[in-house]
Amino acid sequence: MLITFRAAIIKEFRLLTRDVHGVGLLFLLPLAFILIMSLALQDAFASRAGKGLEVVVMDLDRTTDSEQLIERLNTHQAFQISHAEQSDLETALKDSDAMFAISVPEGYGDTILDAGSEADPVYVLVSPNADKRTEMIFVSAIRESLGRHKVDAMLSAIEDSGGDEDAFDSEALDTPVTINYAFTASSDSPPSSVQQNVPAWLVFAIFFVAIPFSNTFITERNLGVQRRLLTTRMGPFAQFAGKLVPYFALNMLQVALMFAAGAFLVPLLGGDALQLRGSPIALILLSACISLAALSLALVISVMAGTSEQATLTSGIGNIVLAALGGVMVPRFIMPQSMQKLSDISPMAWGLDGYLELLLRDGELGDILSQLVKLCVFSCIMLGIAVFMHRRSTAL
Amino acid sequence: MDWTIKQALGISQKGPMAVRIMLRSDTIISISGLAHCYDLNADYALKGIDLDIVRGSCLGLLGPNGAGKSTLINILNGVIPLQQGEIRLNGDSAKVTQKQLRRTSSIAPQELAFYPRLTVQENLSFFGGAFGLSGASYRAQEDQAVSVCKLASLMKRPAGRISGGEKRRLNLAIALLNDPDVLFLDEPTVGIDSQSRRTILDAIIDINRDGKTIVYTSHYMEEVETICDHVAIIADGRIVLNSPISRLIHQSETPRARISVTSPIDETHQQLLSGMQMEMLTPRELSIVVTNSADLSSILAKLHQIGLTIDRVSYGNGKLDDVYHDAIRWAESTQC
Repeated sequence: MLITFRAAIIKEFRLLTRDVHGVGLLFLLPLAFILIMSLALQDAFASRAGKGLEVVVMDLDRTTDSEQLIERLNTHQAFQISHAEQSDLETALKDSDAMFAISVPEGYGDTILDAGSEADPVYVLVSPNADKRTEMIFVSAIRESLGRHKVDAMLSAIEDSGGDEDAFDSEALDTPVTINYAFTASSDSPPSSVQQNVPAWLVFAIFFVAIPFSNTFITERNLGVQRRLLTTRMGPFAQFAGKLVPYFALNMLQVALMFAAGAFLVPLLGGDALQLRGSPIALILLSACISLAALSLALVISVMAGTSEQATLTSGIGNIVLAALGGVMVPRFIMPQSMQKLSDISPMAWGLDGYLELLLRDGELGDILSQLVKLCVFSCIMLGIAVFMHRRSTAL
Repeated sequence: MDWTIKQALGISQKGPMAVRIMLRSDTIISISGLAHCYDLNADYALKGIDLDIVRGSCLGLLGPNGAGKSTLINILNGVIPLQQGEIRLNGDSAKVTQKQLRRTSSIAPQELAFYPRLTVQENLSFFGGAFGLSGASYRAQEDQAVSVCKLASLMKRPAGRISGGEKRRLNLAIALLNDPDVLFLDEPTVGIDSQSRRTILDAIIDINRDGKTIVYTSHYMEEVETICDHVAIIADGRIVLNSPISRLIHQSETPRARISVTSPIDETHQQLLSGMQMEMLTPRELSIVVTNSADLSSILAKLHQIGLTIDRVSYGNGKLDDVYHDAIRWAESTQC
């Protein structure tokens, strides 16, 4: 078994090295996409797109003043307020689907009428995938709530002082709101387009390998090698594994080179540098699972396709459809809800969600567990189908 | 005709066309009642094949396209699972498994079944691994195959860039790697020049001399005459003729007449013809030693006298091509 397995791997590596142009394309195509899309969408991503109107609130003040502010925010139908159970605002944002998080600091009631106070009345945290327009609407809503709250407080103060105008400080009406960006190297800058595009096109690149991979079986079938191999000790598992291992290695090389391109090449061309954040182990595991899913899908296509044209078209068109559905071409957060639900069926979406969780939200292994499980289950099902179909096609 | 003659001619007691060659103790593959159907709604591709392949022999398996040769070879190679009938190896009473068949045999398919982008050496190395060979055992087998197929000077060259004849030799060399007891060669000389054909035929003769059993399919009758000692002709899923080649073609100085008749020659007819030097080729065809044309006239008169209607007569030193076409024609005429 080991001898046949080793022979199959060596043969596949040798065949790969004899097709320099084909292998080169596997790197150049996604690299071109990453460079073009990252640079072209640089400005668009500066005012990131987004959908979420859910707001997580952390009330550290716990006074009537803070409760009134939250109540006022809640009256805005555009926002859905939920209270954070976590102690850390960034964790609260990460654990929820919210686009924004607000912390009402202790002593909020005292600072709201203090014109001399340099402290912000509230602390706002914006998720990386919230767009600029929503952000501005949100900020306006907070300003309005804060302003109304201040007016109410001032009127109440005037009333309490018996109409003394000195008790009214007009400067106190200014309600500054500072925006902070979550999960970025510096909290005052939003995530760049490269941070979104590299993982997206990397997932596409990993699945793109399906095209040459699926053709290897067809070529062998056309050459008569498949039939000849049936007379040897090399069973379907050794044949499959012999192909999967070299292409898996190729995928891992793609991951390394695409991340390197995002980190080093894009900045040279005037774009922002990719920041590799999140757990490195999780990043490696996720990349491995995406590769396995892509290769197992390619295996099914190669076993089922009758001709090279069929395999190429099925892999190519399938890749594009999965990419479009999975948020590679069109970010999922700007899709309508129904499309977002539909995109959940794409393994590319699972992979991309995982990468975004890691790269945009500093995710850990636990944060992408559901994506890893989905990808692994998908791979197992596809491998099972491939083995079944292969056996059926060879048992004439 | 008594049973010993029938046996010698490969005609069984089961019926006029259930042909069977001799049952010898040195049989390497014994097939009985082998039938195969690809599709429940389709006709049988093989319809009760009985055949013994003698160890160390070179059997020419002939037949028109679609006759069932490839199906038979694929079953004997363990590529297609056995549906009906029995295959036994080396006289063993136990039925053989697909895995046993694969380990006993090897095939050089008609297609050039290797990787054109790999070198000759890399192809041999891969298929050696596929046969489970490694280290010294692989090197020994590789040396042997390279030597027999004269590939030593081509080892570093990409397989896709060598000549057609050299590709055929590589195709054969790969089949030799697992040191098979039985080697199936499916038209190994198709599409190559005469010099390359000669090289391959010489290699096959050498392999056969080394004791390997060979099952050889080809449409080139002169090749079969040159290298095979037995011939089995298959048509419409049945073996219509199975005989040592020496009995079918007459390379001796004695001229023979091959006479086909319209109805089967039964035991009574054979008794009436017992004084002649004759051999039954098929139930409707016989071969008779003829010394001159007057002799031939009297033979034909005698056949007419005992109630047989002459269909066709050929006279002279027989050729396998004639035998083949006669057998196929006979098979077609008996299809109902």
